[in-house]
Amino acid sequence: MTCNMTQRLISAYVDRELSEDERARVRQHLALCAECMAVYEMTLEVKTALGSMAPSPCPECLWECVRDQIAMLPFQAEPERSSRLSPLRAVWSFARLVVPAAIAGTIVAIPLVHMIFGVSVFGPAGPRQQPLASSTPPRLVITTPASEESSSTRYQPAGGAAPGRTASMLSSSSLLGLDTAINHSEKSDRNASSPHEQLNLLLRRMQDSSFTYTWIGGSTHE
Amino acid sequence: MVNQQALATTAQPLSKDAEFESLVLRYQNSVYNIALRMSGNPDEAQDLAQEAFVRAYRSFDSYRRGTSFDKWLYRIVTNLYIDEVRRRKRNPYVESLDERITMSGGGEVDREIADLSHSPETVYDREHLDMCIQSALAQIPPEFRMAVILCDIEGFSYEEIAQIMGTSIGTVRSRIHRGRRGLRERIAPCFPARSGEVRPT
Repeated sequence: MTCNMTQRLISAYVDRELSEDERARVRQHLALCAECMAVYEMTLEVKTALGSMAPSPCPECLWECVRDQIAMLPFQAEPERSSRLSPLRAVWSFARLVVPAAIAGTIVAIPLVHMIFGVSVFGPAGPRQQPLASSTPPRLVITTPASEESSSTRYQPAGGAAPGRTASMLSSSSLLGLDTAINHSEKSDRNASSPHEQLNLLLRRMQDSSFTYTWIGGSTHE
Repeated sequence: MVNQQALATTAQPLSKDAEFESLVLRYQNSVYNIALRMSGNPDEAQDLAQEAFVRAYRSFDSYRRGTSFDKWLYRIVTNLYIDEVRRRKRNPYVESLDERITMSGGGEVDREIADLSHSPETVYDREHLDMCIQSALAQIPPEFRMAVILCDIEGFSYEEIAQIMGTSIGTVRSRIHRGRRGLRERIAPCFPARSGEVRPT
């Protein structure tokens, strides 16, 4: 082993951080080389001198200064309060999230329910008495001719669809927003097809129950 | 040295702030001492130690309980100091030692610098030897200095130093070798009996 190699390993030798093999080779070289031995002794002396440096006492205010700095950190105030009022804070944080979400959800859901299912949320008992009436869009036009004692009611879209198709179009008209007219006629439709008859029956019931139907934002009562 | 495992075990039932306070009080002396040996200046050492503890508090949640708190803390000190040294290198503050010092109340005085290498009657005095070592430490690169301080003052193994400094054991060995070589050359005059024996290799 050369002097250069030995002196590179001397620090690790002093620190006992060499393998047994390396250690043995360094020891052999030191026994024969005065220069490397002097380096070894000086290295040991430096290590000893560093290790025996008088420790300087820490300033007494160190922790106080650290504590003051920590107290000024923006997130510091939260943990203390949360530990003291944790149940109240938990309820508050839950409510703070849930209440606006519930309100927003309700506002969105009401028109959706009305449009998709044809169920009117507001108004006095309209939907329960007459689903057809509740599915009628706001643009519904009701025409009531002179005679009140009619026994038959014709219910047809303004677009002039055939009577036989009226029932099927009624459900879609609420979604499509078609203008629909109710013709309150004196004449009874004797040649009505089966769906038409059912429709007439429903409308008659509607009339019997004081002709109440509703839409969002108000109700009409005749 | 303090048994960190025992501390971590006893500290667990405490709240975060109480646990942190007990750890600071336990390690503040060694952190300050490392900071002082690294910086060579008591005021700077106090700032460094304070900043290290504040940083430690901010990332205290990421400290894994049951692991060695002092190594984790010394790593913060190391990174903080080396970052600071790099920052200063980018924005160096140079002051001439020949310039007279302007006093705050007006007037100027000559700068007095201790000649540590030419006072044999005091060199063996403990305090002067410490000053000599401190002066030598300040002249070696910060990475070498930190490795030597952690090894010789704090008594860590190479493996532990590698963990603290985030390097390989080979790098630690190299840093300690080169750091001590620099110190040998600079401290040798403080040991007159040996000053003629060791020459730089």
